[in-house]
Amino acid sequence: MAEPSSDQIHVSPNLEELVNGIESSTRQAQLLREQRDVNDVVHQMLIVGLVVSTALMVFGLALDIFYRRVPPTTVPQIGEVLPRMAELRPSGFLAAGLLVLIATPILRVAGSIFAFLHERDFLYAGITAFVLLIVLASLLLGKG
Amino acid sequence: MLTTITLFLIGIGAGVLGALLGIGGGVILIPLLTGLVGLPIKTAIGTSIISVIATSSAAGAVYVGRGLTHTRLSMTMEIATTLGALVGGFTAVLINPNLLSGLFGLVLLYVAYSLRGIKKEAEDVAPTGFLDTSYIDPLTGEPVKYGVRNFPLGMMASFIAGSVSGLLGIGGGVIKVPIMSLLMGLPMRAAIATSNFMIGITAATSAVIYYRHGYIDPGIAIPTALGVLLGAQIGSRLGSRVHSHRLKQIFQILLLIFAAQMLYRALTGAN
Repeated sequence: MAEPSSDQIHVSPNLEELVNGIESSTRQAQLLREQRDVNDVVHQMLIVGLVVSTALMVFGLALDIFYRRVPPTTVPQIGEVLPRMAELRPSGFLAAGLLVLIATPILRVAGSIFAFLHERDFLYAGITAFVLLIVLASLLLGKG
Repeated sequence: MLTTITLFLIGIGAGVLGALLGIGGGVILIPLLTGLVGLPIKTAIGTSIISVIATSSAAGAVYVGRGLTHTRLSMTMEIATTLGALVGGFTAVLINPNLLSGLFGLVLLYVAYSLRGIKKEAEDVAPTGFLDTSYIDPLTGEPVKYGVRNFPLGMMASFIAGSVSGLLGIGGGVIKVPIMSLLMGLPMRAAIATSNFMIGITAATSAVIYYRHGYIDPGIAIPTALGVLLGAQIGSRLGSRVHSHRLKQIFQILLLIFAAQMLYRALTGAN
């Protein structure tokens, strides 16, 4: 058995550390990647929904201040929202902000169905579709 | 104009406190809206649910971005929370407002109780072979692997949390987080992130019902929700600098006062 040269003694621990480092970071990357598709879709939908709804609400309130009016106390029918926005009426923008905010988690669920389908995870695509169905039931039954 | 500013400030206050204590704003918001502003309980509930959706979406985006949310588990439990929200939402629009105030008072008592010094989380966080997943701990940089236990119990708790959320306009995290961390084997971080993630869709389910029944007053809900969003941002930045123990004690006393106020309203019919 030959004595290891001084070079090897110095180099090998570093090398080992380096290899371990790479292994653990690829392992972590892989763990992250497993969930990334669905998470990315969800993450972006939540942020876009929040930004759009906040902008609509702030704009609606600003219009109210501009017209020196008190903000409305009731929401218009859903079908009336777009026409009111076209007329630059504050109530249209405020209602649109509320509806986009409420729709954000619903669209997040709908988006996740496609993300799961894309991952070919049919079980979870089905589970998520079922959640969407329950929410749609509240939309249809909600009329009272 | 004055009301708009008052509501915005109340929203900021509820958002800051909620973020500092790790609970949703609804528990604080509703007693303030009924007590200080004098709103009817159902309008306060409709206002709160809008704020709950906003904060859940904002926090949800952060948690999902960090990979802390157990997406598959939350999608599954959402079946139970949304069904609960459907039942709770329809009950809320039909039920006598005095009864709602009374139930809310009882929930406040429970929240005050749940804030006592509880053990942080289950010690045996480990893969179980059921919905195993992992996240990278933000403090140590190490992956934490865990699986799910007591799943049927979790689904039942989710249904109850969803019903309470739909009925009273709160997020329901006060019910789900302890169950998920103590009984289902989720690490605390994952339990908070996953519970929060479910809240958005749960609240949206009942918000649709409230919207259709006219319990969402834009002049009230919007300034409040914008305040809560801003307050939650401030609160999460202040977080590390506040003595949470003392804050918790003060808050528990506040909750007891709120609970007494709600129960008084329930009995006297001041809705």
